[in-house]
Amino acid sequence: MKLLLKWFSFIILALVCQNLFLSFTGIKTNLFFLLMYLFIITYYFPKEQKRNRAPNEFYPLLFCVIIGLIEDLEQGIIGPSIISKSVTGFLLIKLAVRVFFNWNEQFKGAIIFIFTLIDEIIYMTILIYFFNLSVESLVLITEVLIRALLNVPLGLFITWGKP
Amino acid sequence: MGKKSSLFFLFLILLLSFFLIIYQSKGKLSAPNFNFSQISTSINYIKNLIKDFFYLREENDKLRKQLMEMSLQQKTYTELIDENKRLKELLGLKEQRKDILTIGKVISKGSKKYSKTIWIDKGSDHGVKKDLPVITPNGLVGKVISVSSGYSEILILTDPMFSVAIKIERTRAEGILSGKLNKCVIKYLPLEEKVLVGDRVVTSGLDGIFPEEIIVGVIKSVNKKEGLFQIIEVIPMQPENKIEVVAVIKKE
Repeated sequence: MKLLLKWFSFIILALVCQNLFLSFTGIKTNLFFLLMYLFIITYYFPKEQKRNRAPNEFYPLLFCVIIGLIEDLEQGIIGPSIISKSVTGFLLIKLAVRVFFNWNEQFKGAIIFIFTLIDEIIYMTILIYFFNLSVESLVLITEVLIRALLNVPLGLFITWGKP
Repeated sequence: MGKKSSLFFLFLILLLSFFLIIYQSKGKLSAPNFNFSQISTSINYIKNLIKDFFYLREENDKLRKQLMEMSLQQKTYTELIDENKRLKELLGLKEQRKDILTIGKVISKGSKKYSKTIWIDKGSDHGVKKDLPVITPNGLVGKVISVSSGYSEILILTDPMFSVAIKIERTRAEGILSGKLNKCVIKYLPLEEKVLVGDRVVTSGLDGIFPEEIIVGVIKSVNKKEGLFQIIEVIPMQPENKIEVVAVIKKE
């Protein structure tokens, strides 16, 4: 219950920060990805190993789906973010399991950047393909790159020293 | 739950999402739009509050600056109006008196410690000479004591070195008025002369410097207790701290 409350408050905080940042700078951030990333890192690299069992893949994936759903509810279209977040989350889970011993800060920075890009590209592609979103490609690339670049320092900050 | 089940879960989610997307894109289904208005509203409120604070501070600074400029401008206007009034008065004086040589503006006060002098912007180039009387529409100011080409120094009537032959306008009793640094006194007026507080004092013209009937001041107090003569204090008609424009008059 405590854990649920903690992550729920994190979601609210991310939502507030995202809106706050948008209000002040006019730049839309992708803090939900960072939340997802934080969850996976915390889930796969806990401070104390409580059980002698391999961590389950289902919970982080469910978390990613919930995050995607919340983002979709905010955007008014259900689906694109669920897909992008669950695919990115799934890949991130696989990565966390496979390269367990290689998590240094540079690697984390690169992971955040690349996976934010993947998340955004999937989301944009769905919007462009299914909802005929017409935006100049240069603007689109710039926006996606800004979000990915902004996520790197923020992601490193919130997961500093982890794992 | 194993790896296969998580993959199956992902597949299920993706499939469901695609169906939802397709339905939404065709307009057959519309998703509820939670725009988190309360969060947005409060954020916007805080944002506007901060924005307003900085805007108001900036506006306040701007308005303060503007107010300062306006008040300075107003001061200038008031000064111009005053100057205009004074010049009009002097013009009236010039029309009344045909002996006015020139009109000068006071440019500074004399720097001597125990002397009361002022400097005007008219000198020998304008016909000003030593010992010429200086007046304003209110009354006598003093006399010229030194002249250069463009400037003149005026000894004003409260200076201890200044003296002028006067008479009491009402009784025609004659005496000598001298300065006492911050006031003027009438000397050598016999005790039997009846002088009242409020009597006007004018020049008598007997000293050969000042023409007759220039208003000098008003009697402030009369003391008959000492010696053979009365000691009479006079308030100058032209206060020395309000001399700004003066007229130099010709000797007859």
